[in-house]
Amino acid sequence: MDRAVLGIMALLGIWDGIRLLGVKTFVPEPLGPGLYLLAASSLLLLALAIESIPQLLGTARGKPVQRTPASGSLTVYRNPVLQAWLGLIFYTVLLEFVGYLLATLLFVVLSVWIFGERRLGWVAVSGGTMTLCFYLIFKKLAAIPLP
Amino acid sequence: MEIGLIQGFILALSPINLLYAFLGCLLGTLVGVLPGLGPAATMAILLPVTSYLSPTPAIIMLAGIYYGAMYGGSTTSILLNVPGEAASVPTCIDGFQMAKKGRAGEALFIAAVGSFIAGTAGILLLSFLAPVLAIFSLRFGPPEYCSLAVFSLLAIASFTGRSLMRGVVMSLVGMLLALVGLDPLSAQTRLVFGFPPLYAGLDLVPVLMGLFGIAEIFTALRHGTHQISQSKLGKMIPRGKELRKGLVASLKGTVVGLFGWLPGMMGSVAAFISYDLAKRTSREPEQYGLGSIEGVAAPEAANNSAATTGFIPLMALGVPTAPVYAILLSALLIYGLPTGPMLFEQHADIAWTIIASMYIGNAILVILNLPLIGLWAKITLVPYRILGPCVLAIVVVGGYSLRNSMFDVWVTVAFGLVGYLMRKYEWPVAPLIIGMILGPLLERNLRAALQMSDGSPTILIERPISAVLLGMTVCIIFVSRWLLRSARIIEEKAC
Repeated sequence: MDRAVLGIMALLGIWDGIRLLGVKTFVPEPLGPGLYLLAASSLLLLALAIESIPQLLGTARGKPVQRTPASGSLTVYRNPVLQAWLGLIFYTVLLEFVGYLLATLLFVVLSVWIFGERRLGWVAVSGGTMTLCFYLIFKKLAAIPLP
Repeated sequence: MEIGLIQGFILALSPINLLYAFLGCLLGTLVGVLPGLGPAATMAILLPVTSYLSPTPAIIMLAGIYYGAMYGGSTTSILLNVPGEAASVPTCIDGFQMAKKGRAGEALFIAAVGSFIAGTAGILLLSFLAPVLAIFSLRFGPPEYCSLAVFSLLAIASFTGRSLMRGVVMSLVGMLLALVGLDPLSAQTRLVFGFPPLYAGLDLVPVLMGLFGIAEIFTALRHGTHQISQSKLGKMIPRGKELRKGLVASLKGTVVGLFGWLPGMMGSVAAFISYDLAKRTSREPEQYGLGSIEGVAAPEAANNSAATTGFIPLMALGVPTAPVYAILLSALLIYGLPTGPMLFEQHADIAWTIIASMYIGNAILVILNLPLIGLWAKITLVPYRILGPCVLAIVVVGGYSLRNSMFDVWVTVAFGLVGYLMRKYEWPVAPLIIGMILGPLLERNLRAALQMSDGSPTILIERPISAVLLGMTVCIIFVSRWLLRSARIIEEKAC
């Protein structure tokens, strides 16, 4: 799947590069924006193909394909990394609707739970304390703009 | 040079710069001690925060974080058999064995002293070589910069990860990501696909924060927390023959690390090479892997001298040779400071202040590390369920604060997942970052070079400096395969 994603990226680059080949620039130049993009994307596709050769040859010969061992379920319930990432997305969406303090409090409490703390009291206390510290440090002390 | 360095010391010894040097070293050591959070992640996370400081203290602090982390990484390697960062992996081999025998204090002492010697040597080389290289690079034109970019990209692709082609793929991906947005010469949009926020392109800092900050936390979450070792520190200072062996090995490691200014010769690579060299030249090679003090001293010295000499191409040529230098380059760009030879030409005071502060920071690190070893060992008790959410929340604020844009936060979050998946599927991250930084340099200079030669690419071979750089590019591929084969053998014995 990783190679497929990279391959799609290369194909999109080739498509956009071809589109730009027909565009005239103010100052004529041998290597325009389109040709450079086309070249880089084509090189990416070629490099990806070369990188995939050992695996393809192994598959063709019937040898077991060496894959990174799958770790972690794809179901959210059993995959803490997926939970944490969805929590980040939730946090980012929430920032625009409820403001920094409330969104951060909810996120930090959720994250502390995801990262393994199961004592509800500690989850609440550490979440609240961290949120307050962040607010004081960023807003009051460092005057950093908050979402 | 002498006048510049003296002026640099005067400025570096000002209270505010001293404070930020101390803060950087403290944070760096802390980051190095804590497994799961590397110097690149910390620098990326703090980069938006430092943008509110003036340039000199900001760069001093970020630099302090980096070489501080090199010092701190040895603590977890020795005490927990967990490398604080990649360059500390060889230290695990003998360091943890020494800790199991109750000699953790001696291991930590020689690591700190060796790091000080090596760091000083590296900074001395930086002081002499960087200005000379900067003057030499004034002869560089577009063909030379183009060839230099190709050399750097391939060198990094060769030395990172296990596969050259994976490194090349990631370099090209980084170059494509740098193309997103408007072409500066023709104002044409590239890889935008009608999505207006992409017209301004992808800012490097949110990408860095996602790839390093968020991704490292996710990776640590996936691997779970570590058991804390109960190793006793024992006596602190080795005596007689042991001390002599450690110091000699430190010198060997220092010499290896002094080549850290070459693209691709990152701290981790230097550490492995120096471990191998020290073992081959040791009178007791059979002791390696069983708790040899030389096996701790050599890689620790190498990674520290490589960490400081890595600043040479950054300051002299404007070319970062590892992600941490890419972050420092971003910091220079945020302040509108020129990179490369113009930094010494137009802002010599800043350049020399940074170099002088590295001498001071090196001394601060010995003071921080030697008496406080026990304290740093206790820091490893900080539970990840507190550290992880902290870092994630800080990263989100950092992503927003750069341009007050929620789009940058989304970029950070997206690249957090990308970085995690890259680590999981063993795609190297460093070439992608360097590709994003050097891609525009390569494109700009390649287009200029081809205009100079009316479209003929032979200009890259006709100019002698450019031809030499391209020749070195071919050589580096073969050299890197040979060096990494040795490193791989050592790594199989490592923690």
